Amino acid sequence: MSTPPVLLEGVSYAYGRAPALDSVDLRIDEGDFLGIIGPNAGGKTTLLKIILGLLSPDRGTVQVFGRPPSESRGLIGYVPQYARFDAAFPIDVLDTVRMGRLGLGRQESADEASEAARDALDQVDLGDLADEQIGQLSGGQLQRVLIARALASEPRILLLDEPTASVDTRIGRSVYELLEQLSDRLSIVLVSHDIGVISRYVKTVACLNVQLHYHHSRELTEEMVELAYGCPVDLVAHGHPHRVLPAHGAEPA
Amino acid sequence: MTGALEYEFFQRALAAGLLAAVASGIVGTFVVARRMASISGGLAHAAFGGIGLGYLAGFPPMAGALAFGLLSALGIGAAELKMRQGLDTLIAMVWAVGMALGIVFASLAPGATPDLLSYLFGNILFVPSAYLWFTAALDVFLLLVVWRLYRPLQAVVFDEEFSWVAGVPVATLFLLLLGLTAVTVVVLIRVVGVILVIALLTIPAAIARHWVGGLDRMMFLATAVGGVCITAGLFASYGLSASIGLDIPTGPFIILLAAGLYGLSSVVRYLARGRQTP
Repeated sequence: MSTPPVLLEGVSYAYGRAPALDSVDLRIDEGDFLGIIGPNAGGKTTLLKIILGLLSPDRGTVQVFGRPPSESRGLIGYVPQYARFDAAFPIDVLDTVRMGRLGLGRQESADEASEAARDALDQVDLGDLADEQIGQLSGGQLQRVLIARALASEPRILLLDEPTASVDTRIGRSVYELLEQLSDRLSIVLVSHDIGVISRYVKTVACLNVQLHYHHSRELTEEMVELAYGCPVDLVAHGHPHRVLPAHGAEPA
Repeated sequence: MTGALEYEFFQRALAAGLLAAVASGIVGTFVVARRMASISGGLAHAAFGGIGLGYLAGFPPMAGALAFGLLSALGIGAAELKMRQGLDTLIAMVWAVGMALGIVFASLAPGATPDLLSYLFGNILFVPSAYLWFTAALDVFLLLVVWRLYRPLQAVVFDEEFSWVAGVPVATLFLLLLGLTAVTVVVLIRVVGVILVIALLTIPAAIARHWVGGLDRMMFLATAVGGVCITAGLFASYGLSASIGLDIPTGPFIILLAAGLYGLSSVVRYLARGRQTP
């Protein structure tokens, strides 16, 4: 527990003059399951890319397991937004998942790599789709394939970018249920604009809109949401097993 | 028409074409999968600048093509890696500037430059033996690269960001791929010419994509399709010339055949798919 998986201090990043992140401090510990919500263009993907080392912050420091991200490659399992994938790319599911085995200095035979990829596919219940072209998959299936690819790299922390964007709600839910299972043995960070579903499964919630509002708790206060979205948002929390909002004083039925 | 095979120049042209089809099939598969056809077109036209400089400075034009192609590949590749977004404008610039330089250099060159057109439209019927050896060496090298680096190259072409995060040396592999594209482009200039290289790199691979999934199988099929088109183009243009005295350059012939095949492949695939799904 000495070195946290992710530690950001005073991280700022701007695209030209438009600030995407402003003085973000974030500590992610082993076993965390953090959901970061925020409006589109609120800096969510930028934050992930800075943790991954794909972008370098203008100011502030980033440490992943106590080292700069470029020196801790292979420790993070990255699940990008599947919607930006070229579905026509000629590759089957097993080959996609096998990419997770390409880490630095991993010496293994082709059979061992395939075996590991099949194990990862089984974990997301897609074992029988191994030979399908990725273009044949539904959005939810492709999402699971990308999770399996990240799992195949045996990461210590999983980072997911909008894991259920434009997946229908039923599939979205099954992806979150899968993540909930995985959170028993992995630290997980996911970003989404989907407040309702995200807060049902994660252990803690943060709000990001250029600035990060995070109290290491599951409760999403109206104040946080207001800070993040810049305006009051009507959160419908009814019917969830856990309330993410404190009860209102006078709530219409 | 098989009489053509009795001529040594024709045998050499055929051998050269088939050797070029291998490089074209392997590299073309990456070009199509990575959707970087415009980069290959840009490299071909950049190479033309080197051809012109060769005329002007008195060294072999193909050596100039190789140098210009490789330098442009490294430049475009570095910019692509740095900016991580489309480089339309830069590629268009390299494309046009290469062409302009080639024409300016060649016009300044002492004496006539009669075979400038053959670099634009290809001239496979009179290949020197050095070309055969060079292309064979390129094929061997490409096969070695694919054999040793298939998985990491596949990963880099499919998903650069994930590959980097997983620890794959993305920059090195991407520049290697672009460098090999540049060398292949130079080899193909002899077959179909600067202007049509882009077609020979993309059409066979696109046809292959109709029928197989997976880069490895695409490479085989694209090589076969390219080989068939080049062979048929050679025989057709030779036949027309020998029988009715109609001289049509081989390069454009090859490309038109490939494009026709692409249309046919699209239609057949469409009909086949249509029957599968009731």
